[in-house]
Amino acid sequence: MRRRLPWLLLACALLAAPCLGGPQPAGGDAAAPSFAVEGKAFLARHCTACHGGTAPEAGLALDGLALEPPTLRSAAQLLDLRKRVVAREMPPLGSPAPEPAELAAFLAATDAALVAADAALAPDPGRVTVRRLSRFEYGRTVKHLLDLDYEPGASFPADDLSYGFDNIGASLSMSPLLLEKYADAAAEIAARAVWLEDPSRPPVRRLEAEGLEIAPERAGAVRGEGAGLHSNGTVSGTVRLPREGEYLLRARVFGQQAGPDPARMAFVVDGRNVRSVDVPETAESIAVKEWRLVLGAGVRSVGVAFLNDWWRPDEPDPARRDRNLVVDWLEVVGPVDARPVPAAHQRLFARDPAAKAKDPSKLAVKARAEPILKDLASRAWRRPATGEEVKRLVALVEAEVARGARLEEGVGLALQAVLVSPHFLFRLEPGAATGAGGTPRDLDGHALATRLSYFLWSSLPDEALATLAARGRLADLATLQAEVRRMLADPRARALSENFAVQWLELRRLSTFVPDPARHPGFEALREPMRQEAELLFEAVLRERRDVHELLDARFTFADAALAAHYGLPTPAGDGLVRVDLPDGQRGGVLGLAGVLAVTSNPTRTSPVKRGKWVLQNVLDAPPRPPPPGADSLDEARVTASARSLRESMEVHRARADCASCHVRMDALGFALERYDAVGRVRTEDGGQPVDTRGTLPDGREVDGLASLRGALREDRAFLRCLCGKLFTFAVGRAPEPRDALALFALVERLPREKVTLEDLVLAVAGMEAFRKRSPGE
Amino acid sequence: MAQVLRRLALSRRALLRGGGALLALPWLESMRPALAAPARGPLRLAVVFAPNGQRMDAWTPASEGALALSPTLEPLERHRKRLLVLSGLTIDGGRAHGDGPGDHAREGGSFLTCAHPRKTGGADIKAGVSIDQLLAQHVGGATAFPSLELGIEPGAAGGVCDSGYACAYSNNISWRTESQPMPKETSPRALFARLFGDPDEAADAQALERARASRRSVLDLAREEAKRLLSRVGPADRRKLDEYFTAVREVEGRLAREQASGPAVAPPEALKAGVGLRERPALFFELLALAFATDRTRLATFMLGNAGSNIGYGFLGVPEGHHDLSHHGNEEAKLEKIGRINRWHAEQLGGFLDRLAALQEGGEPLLERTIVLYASALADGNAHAHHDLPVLLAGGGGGWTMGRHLRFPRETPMANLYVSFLERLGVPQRSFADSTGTLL
Repeated sequence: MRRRLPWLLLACALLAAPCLGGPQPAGGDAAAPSFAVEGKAFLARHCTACHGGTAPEAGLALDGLALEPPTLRSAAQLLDLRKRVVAREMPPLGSPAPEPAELAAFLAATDAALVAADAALAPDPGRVTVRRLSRFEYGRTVKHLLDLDYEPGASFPADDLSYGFDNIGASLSMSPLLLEKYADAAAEIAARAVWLEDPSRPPVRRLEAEGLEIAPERAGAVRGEGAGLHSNGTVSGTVRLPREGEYLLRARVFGQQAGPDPARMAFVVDGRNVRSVDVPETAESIAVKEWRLVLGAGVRSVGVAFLNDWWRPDEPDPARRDRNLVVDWLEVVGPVDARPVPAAHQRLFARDPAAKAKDPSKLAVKARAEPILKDLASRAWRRPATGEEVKRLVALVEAEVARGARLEEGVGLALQAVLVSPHFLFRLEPGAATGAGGTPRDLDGHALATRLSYFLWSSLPDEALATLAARGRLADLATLQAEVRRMLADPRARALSENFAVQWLELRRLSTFVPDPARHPGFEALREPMRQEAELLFEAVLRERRDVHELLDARFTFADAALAAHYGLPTPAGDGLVRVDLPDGQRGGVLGLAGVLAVTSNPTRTSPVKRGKWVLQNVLDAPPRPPPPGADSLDEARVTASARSLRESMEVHRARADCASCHVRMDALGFALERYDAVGRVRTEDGGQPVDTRGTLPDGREVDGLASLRGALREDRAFLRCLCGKLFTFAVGRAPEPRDALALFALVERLPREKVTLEDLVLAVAGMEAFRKRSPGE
Repeated sequence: MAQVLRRLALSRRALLRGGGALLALPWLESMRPALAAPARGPLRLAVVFAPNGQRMDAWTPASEGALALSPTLEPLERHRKRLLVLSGLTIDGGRAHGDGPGDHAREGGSFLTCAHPRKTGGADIKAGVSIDQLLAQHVGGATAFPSLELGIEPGAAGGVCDSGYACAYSNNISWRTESQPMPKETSPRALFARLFGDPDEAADAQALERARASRRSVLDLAREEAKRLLSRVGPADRRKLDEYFTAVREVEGRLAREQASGPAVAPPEALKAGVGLRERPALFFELLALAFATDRTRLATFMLGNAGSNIGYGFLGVPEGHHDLSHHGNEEAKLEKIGRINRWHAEQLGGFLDRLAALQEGGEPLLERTIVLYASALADGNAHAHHDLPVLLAGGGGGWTMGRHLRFPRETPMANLYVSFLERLGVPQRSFADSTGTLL
């Protein structure tokens, strides 16, 4: 059996059919390369001189490495060895490099041995620390729980990242600050979800004269229960209005009449007279004046102004000398315009028996609250709420109603309790901790459904999924897979693009990346489109069932007018981002995304090292090891002076062997992207020098620019492995352990040799033991 | 919740002016018995963290003894007699100890813990309890907020933070437990709302009382649920739920303490306008000064940038990323720019000290009752040195003789300074992390 050679494109053509069939038992077929023969021969020729004997280098002895029978340790060692050999980190520079055919035979033997090891070794799904909802997940969950758009945004503290993702259980911590924000959020959500308006009984906000302000101060005074204005001035107070809408302004007033005209007043809102009226009434005939008008939400100042002061000290009748206005109280009533009941309220009260009852007032609080809260808590907590739990929530409502609140308000309070509960904020996996013995346990159906829905939707299970979970059907792999397909087709799967893809590509950093404004004016307008472009590209590859590798070399992208101008493309028709063709291969795929090129740059210049590292980490499944101690970053002043000196200063990387082992590859990958400046725009020169996009890969092959790089990125299924690893981390909430890494390797080997879609990868990851099961005990 | 409570206070008390000298001091107002001997206000501690080390040749004063300010610290000249520069201190926990690169993650993780942070991408983060949190355990109960954690930069929004270290180490300096960092507030508006109430809302005492009652019943149920769960889960999950349980209890405690109302504070003008990087430190310092003055808290940490921060300071003529620049290779042009950032940070600190000096409490400036620690957890950013750190104390709260530059023997643990803090704040504990004694 021949296998393709890494770094050699033509090898694809040599691929033999037997690879398609799945894992081949090592040594079972005389023609197949076996690790015991080809593998050992390779080790003896290239490795064990240093990594062998009594004092092996780096404490790594490979002369005893055997995989028949495999152990987890030997398989993990071999996996690591394979990575280093493929990356040309090993054998080190200066040692004779393996011949292509020799390397091919070694890899064929290794891969078969690894696949066999995975089949032979007992699965170990491991354990995941309970996960708190991330900020993104919280928003999505609320949306689908209540049909309500709530964006926690920056009001929650940022979730710390691990392994590049913000949904890693062990890193998602809880603090008093965050808990307070959760409680605030729950209160706000409840206020928005529970509709308390009853147009027949609008709320009345009364401001008694005693609490009002008089301006100017000398215009009047509060005496007894009235505010008297003895010269032109205003009495006013503030109210808080829940929404924009129609309100009634009312004032109980009378005049101390004098002169030819009756007293005259105006209603005042936020300092402006909105309506003037005569007040012919006197203390004996106090009147209530009112005016209906539209007011905005928030804090409003409302008042009454006295407009026509009159004062004649020489008037013979003392009672006719002075005209004054007296205000007893002000009221703001409303909103008085009826609005449709919001969807969130309808959803929340869908199970309210009052809707069908002949006389709802006869229903006990418990009778109404129980079905509402059982449904709410069961959906919010992603598993059936127990009778006891519901009882405690109902008790909250009952207490609230006993205090004089309406049932709806009580349900609002219970909703707050549901949203602050650990059952909501944490993705608890009940039952998983109770296993005994050594065999992995299937996750409880609801826990598995929850893993699935947060993987694909960043949100809670819908009814169909929850029903399957309740019936225990998800333990059946075929059902699980059918469900994955259904869920991917649902619009909610957009979350995979917005949450997974954006984090994988490190594009959340776009929101904080600030390129030097002098060099890159106009970047602000591009932040959003840059992120959306990435989302749409991922979305298109997913929905259109395209080959995953189109994420690297798509012949289209998405742009709005600003981004198209940035890319030097014709202005697309229509609003927002639209699909545009990329005929020339200068862009297309994630490495051509301006957003990716920007977040891998420094504010004042590109960084080939950061870009190279990004490619290794996010495309090639070969994150470089950290630099050795004492390694300094580049000399910024010299670098900005000239593009040529950037290359020259990077030659330093090759001078030190410990640097070179990673940098040779990293720098070449980064140089290939030098055609794009620090915000991802195409450039022909840098600092007066023509850009130089040439680089040499460790195997001596030359690359020049993005187009030539693409071939190298497709080799050895590295991209598939990388993407699977990222999906795994995101889906399971922890980094792959050695057993997972082996399973992931075998999983990719089992994928079709031709076209592989994102759906294939998602299905494969969702089918993994680590996703569906959990090891017992701790 | 804070906003709920603060609005309540607003209705009871006259609005005080936050921006001027009209601020009344609640602690004395409420606590000092009439005609008794004037009591002094409580001690406060503010820790200000400057990322990526300092340009050391511009930081270290030329001579020991009486303090003559270095170029970086020159903007603090007017407070010279209230400053103490400490040289020679080391945070050994920040060093590699075989863990290789990642000095910036360790810079953040070790600063106030003096622990050696565990190298992990996230599965099992571990540093140590930070000094501010240890103090909060003992003295934090006296105020509505046992401690405040503030910062200019939100958590890293993408990628792995530093050479295989989880971002928690770079983004936080306060650690409640060895595995639980205290996330920081990075929005001045949110901070204000939390401390003093929603800046846009007027009070409605009745509604606030109702909101408080609701909050209490919601938290009560949450605590009970957590308690039930704690008995049913394994150790790793228990740690997470315990964090939750503790957080609920703390917020409940605050709710109970809030019943004694404090004064209301008018939002600073800058809060309404919204501010950029240039104005943010000053705004945070202003809010922190107000939080101290109104006794909302007595302990605070403030990160002028995350460890390894790569912010560009375009308005200083330094658009390059701070971290990139800190690897200056001893090139003068780069050192000069680093110096500019360092000096600007010192200017911001100066504004804070001005404010603390202007706010009066019982006839003395608040600065006299405050210990300000201003430091970096690296010396020269280029060398990633964890010894001979740039450390500055300000204010009269420690009761030490200020206006000096002291040099300690090489390798004197920074933890010794923290033991001095424990002493001054009356905590009966005489060691901290790798301390070998007390420093001052």
